[in-house]
Amino acid sequence: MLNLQKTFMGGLLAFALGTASSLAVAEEVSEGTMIHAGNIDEMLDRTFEGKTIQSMLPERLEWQIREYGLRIELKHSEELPRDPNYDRLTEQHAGTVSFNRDTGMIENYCTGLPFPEVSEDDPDAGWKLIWNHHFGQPTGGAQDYRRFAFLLIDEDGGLERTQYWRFQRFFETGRVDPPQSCGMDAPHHRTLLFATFPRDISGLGTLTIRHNDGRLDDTWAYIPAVRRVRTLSGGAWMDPIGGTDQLQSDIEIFNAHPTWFEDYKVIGQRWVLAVAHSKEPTWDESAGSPNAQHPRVDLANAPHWNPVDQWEPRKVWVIEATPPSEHPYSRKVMYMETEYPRFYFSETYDQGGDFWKWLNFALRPYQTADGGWGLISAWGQTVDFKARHATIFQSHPDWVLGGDLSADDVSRGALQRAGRR
Amino acid sequence: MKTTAQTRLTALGVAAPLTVALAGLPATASAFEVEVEGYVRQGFSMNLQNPRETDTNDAYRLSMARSTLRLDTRFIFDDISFTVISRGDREYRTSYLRRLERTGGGAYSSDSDDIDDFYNNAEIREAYFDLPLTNRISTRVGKQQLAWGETDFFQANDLIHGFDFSWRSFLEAENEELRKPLIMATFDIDVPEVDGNLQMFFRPGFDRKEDIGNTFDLVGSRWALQPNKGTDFLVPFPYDFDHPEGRHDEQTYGIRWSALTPGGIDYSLMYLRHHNPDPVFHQALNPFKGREGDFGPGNGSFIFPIVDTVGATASGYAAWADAVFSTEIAYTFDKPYNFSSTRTDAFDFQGRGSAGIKEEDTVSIMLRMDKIVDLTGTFLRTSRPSFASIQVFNTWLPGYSRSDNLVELVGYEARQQRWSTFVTGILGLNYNNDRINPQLAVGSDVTGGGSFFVIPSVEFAYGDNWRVLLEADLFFPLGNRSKRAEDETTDTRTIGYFDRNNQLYARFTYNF
Repeated sequence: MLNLQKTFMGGLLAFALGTASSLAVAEEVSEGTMIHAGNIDEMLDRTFEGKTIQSMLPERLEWQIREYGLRIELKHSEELPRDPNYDRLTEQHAGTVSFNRDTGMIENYCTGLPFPEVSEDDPDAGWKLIWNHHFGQPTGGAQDYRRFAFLLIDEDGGLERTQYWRFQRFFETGRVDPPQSCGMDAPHHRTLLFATFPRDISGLGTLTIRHNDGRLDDTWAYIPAVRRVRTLSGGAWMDPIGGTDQLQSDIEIFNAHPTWFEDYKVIGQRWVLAVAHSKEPTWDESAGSPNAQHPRVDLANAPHWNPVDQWEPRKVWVIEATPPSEHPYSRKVMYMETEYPRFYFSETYDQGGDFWKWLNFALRPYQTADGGWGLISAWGQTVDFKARHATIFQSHPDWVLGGDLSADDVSRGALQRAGRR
Repeated sequence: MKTTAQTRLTALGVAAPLTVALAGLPATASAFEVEVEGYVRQGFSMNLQNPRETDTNDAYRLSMARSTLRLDTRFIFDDISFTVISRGDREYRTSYLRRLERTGGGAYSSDSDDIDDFYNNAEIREAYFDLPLTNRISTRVGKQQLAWGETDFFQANDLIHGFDFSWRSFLEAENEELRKPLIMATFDIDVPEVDGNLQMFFRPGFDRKEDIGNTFDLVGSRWALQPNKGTDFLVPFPYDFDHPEGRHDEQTYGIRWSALTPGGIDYSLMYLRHHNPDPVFHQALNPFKGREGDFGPGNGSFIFPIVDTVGATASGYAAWADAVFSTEIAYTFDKPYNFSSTRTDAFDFQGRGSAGIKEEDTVSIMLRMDKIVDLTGTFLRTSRPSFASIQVFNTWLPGYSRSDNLVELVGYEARQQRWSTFVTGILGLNYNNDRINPQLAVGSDVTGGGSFFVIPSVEFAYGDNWRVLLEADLFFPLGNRSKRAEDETTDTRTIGYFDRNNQLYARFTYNF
């Protein structure tokens, strides 16, 4: 009996251990696994780096896998490189900045990340994260994106049009690169943006000055067809960029002064699958066809806007932003990396509360001119599911973070010189 | 052709020293790029009304079939660049144009009776060299165009160049295609501390004669002002580009300071010496300032006297109106006007402003509001907010005296008024991610009887290359017209000049 009992118990233990063991092997999927509509149901309960796939798929991402042919290739997560200047100056000024709930503004800011420690329980956590985003993006003191592309895509017809642009931004405040700055009295940044292709928009350029005090941007446009600079409406920050699907306030997910939105609330922290180390290249000009030139976009297959990249588990803040009543969106849910204030995704909802657009921007670490590290948007997609249309942003290898771009290079005189033919 | 040969010589004159300058670049200038872009375009225009001047009903006949090739080439050596913009135009001689050649005195008589010399061109429009002298100082040398001022539709401070209104009058929206480039040196000094820029230009007077002043259809072709189609005024009254008061080779120059106020107002102040943009009729019996110059067989000519203008602009965004307000003012000293004589002066030999030239200080004032209006939720259901602009343009003669009998335009009896006011408006709509872009432009001569024009258009964008524009040009002169050449009406003004000239326009462009 004893032996029988021992045998029975031993068998039970072996069964239990064996079952657990076989379950663990079955649930953890390996790097390179592709998640797609054909296997999504069996993948949801499996794990990657110890977390279930389902727990890392926001509802709208899973929906695109099921309904829109999105395929996600898994990649192990990697740490994002740190910029020594950024960390040193952030640490040096840590704890000095305060948030004024009445004005939505921050006080005593010098440089670096305004709020290096944000607690989920803090009722102002959403605002503080947005201010971190305002001042603390690791992009160097200047961005010279010598070329980037917009691909305009129709769900049925595929690639409709291509536009090439140049983007130059010089930060006057919040700088961690020399010349370092302290305070927020000067404008935040100056941005020169002008088109180089196709011919009918070539030379069209804008200069925008973003202020820290919350007033609307100062913006001018150079119109090559009349060879003249014209003042633009500062109220256009919530309007679409030309014929794209992206609003001005959607550039790299969020592009507005924090006080222009009504409120920000932290929904929580969670894990998502996102592209933090985008494969290179995004844009290969030497390739022949558009499909080959843009290997990070599945231009060949409907809906023609799906990304082709490697996705890794990332811990993010989920923030809900409430736009002003005149904004096209009623709310905007954004997913921010916890290591740096950069966004991966956003879901936007129309005034009727219905889901409208999906924004997905892939990150790629990029060495700055002084040897530090920054993060760039390797590509970004804005999908308007109501219009069944998308705009894909494409980076170019010929980009410079930091470098010798100065405020003089991003001036009204430069706007005219850059744009005029 | 003479015109082409002169253009080539001019271009060579510009290009040769630039080539020498480029050859002198340091050997370390490593980055070299060549950018080429341009377009091939075909435009068709059709009469929607029957012009009275021909003996046939020419309604719904082609008034224009114009082919254009434009090529922009830029050679970039690091920070230095050399740009060449060339354009060739060829027109098919439509049956309507052939009839204009046979009507009355015959259109194009002054150009060897040949439409080819009037509309067909092959020229290097611009050829200039951009050279940064320091981080803040740069220069552009060569044949170029420089636009000052705020308004595109009128000329207040945009006076450095003349415009070519001969082939489609004022209707072509891209006025860089109409502006007549000049050989100049331009210097830019940036002052970023105040968001400022000091710009100076010097024109040494090397330009061709035909590059001076505005070119109107004075040869009796499709855009000749009614009732002058088929009448080539340049036969009896040719241009005199060597008149001592308006020599084509006289130096002109200007300086402009533009900056941003701390409150965000963009302003500029300028002075320029320039040829009067519009030609004035100069007659032998009453020479301008007693200086005769050269006259045609009709004892008259058209001249472009040199004048001085000071001006200012301002523009800024007003949050309370969510709109951009712009203004522009220009004061031209001693601007020349034609006048009629009420007496039986010997020199008033034809009436309609032909008695000679008088000078009057003239103030041009423009006020404009640009506003983004959200029509996405209206019955128009645009795909994004729309651009709307309304503009008031006023011409004021502070020393005006009715007894001077100044005329608004030679050839017509309508008097110049102390105040002349024009209002224009534009509404641009966008659909389908800007692939379908309708636009409505309207304008009214408020002090000229309220006559108006309406220009609805729609542009279609297909892919990266193809653009198609369809446009109707509709004029409503109301009572503001004259029906026959011999009418001595005194109320035919700006819109009335275009009576019975409604057009339908289609433009097909392949960009590359």
